[in-house]
Amino acid sequence: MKFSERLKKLFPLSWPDAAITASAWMSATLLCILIQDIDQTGSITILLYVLAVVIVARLTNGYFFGLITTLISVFSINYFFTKPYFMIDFSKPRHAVAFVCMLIITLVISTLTSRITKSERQRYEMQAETMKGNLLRAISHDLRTPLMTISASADLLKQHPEMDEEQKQDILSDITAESEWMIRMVENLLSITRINSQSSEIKKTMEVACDVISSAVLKFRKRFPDMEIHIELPEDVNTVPMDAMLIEQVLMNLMQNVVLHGKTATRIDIRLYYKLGYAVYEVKDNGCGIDAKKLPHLFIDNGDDDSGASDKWRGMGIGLSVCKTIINVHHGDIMGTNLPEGGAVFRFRLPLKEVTQ
Amino acid sequence: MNTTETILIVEDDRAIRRLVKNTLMANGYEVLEAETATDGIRTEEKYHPDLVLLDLGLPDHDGIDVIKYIRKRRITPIIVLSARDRESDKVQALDMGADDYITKPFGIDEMLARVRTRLRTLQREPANAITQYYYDDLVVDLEKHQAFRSDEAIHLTPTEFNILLFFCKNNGKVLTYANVLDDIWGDDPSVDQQTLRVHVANIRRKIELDPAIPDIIQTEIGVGFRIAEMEKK
Repeated sequence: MKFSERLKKLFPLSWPDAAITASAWMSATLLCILIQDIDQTGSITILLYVLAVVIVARLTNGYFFGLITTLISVFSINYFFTKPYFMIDFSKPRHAVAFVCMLIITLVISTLTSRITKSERQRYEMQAETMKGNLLRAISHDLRTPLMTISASADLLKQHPEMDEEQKQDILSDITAESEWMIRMVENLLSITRINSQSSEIKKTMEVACDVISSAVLKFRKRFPDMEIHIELPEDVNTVPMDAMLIEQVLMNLMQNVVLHGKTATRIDIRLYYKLGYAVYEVKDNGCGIDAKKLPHLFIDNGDDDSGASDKWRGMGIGLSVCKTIINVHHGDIMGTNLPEGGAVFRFRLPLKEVTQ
Repeated sequence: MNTTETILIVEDDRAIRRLVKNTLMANGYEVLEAETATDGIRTEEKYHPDLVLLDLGLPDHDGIDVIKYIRKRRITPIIVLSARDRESDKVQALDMGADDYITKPFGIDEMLARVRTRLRTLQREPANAITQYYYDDLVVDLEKHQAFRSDEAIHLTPTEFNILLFFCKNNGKVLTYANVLDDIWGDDPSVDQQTLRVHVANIRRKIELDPAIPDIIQTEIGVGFRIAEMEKK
């Protein structure tokens, strides 16, 4: 069991890698045939094959394909391009030297490649770790404020039953608003735990791309019935691998941001389209747009940044960094910008096919 | 309404139980309370309530066990109260025979609406004498084996019609993917959830006024479909 796992790690088989190997070898061979007349010494032939080996070792995972390329390259040189032609002849020592040299090149490059991917992964993990830390800090900070309002308001109502009806109603609507705010925050928190509990890999299922929009809009309408929402869907039904609960959360966050920060926004346009193997979701509003100063670091939570999270901005950074985290684990990307005609637009895209790492 | 309907609430959290109880009582229902699964089953046996509101995370037994127990004996509607992060529990509860679920934290209005829907669809179940289902100007005709919108026939494939029919029969309920797959295709392993989803997307395009925000067949993310309440004839 353990041995076979190690073997798999050293020699990971994959079709894309096999394709790279085959095409690198074929290109080298073709080029060699083309230049055979100019290249009397045969030195360029060897250079071309070495190049093929370097490319394969750099682009593929593990050592397997690099070694395969080395082997077939040495045989190809021997068979096609050295006298006696079209015969395998390893009697001369220079063949052995060439083989060993190419082998060493492959090993060195493959080792370097796997080291690079490893450090990249480590960096990504560290990034995720800091992101999680910042998020938790910001969220707990943001939960404390509404919690205070709620408990103080309840106390107030209990201690002063003589207040007039209007005052009571005011206090009660504060309690409702603040608890709704807390519910939204907790929903975001739950989304984050969903991602982390499975070591940044989430459970994806094939979902109909437009279903998640309908479901998010239905929920959103219950909370904000006054906002006008228009939806534009493509003709064909496509499925996308996703954790629908999380993508719904992204859409909810984007729509709620329009209400909470778009100020003058009266209308949201949601569009879904397919482009270059991605499903693109677009959320557009006609509000006041995003403060130009905030634009460059929209998706970084502003819980503890130096500009000081002002109260009217509370939550937006958290909402958006949750969105970014969610889209990242889906191997998609998200961006937001202002529209020339006013308002803001957020777009995120998800690959239509499962991305394997 | 000649008799008051009785609702049993099985929930271990005191605050939620009290909130639900007060709400239901204020709306004219008779309320029974139970704190544990054992207590809940016992109360159900004794009083035969018209509806059960059931929390899944109970201290002694899993709420699922309560559903299993009740379903073996009666068709009493069961609405499950569940936390958002326990999605699989929800699906399991529905597969086991629960009729609907409400996710905590829930609004009082939402809960009352669900309770009303369940009690209504229960009262008007006149065996199998139904020949037509209505929703606005959509008519699903069982005898003609066809669906109409404003008297105009809608073209549905046989499979699509069968799915729609199953939805009509379960109107006002939440159905899991497994529920639908089971009924339409039996244990045919070649049909998966994705096929079903595409079929339903196609049905929506044909019967919904706005397929982008469906009225009749709503998607419950990660669970299945919520079917709107329909008129019968």
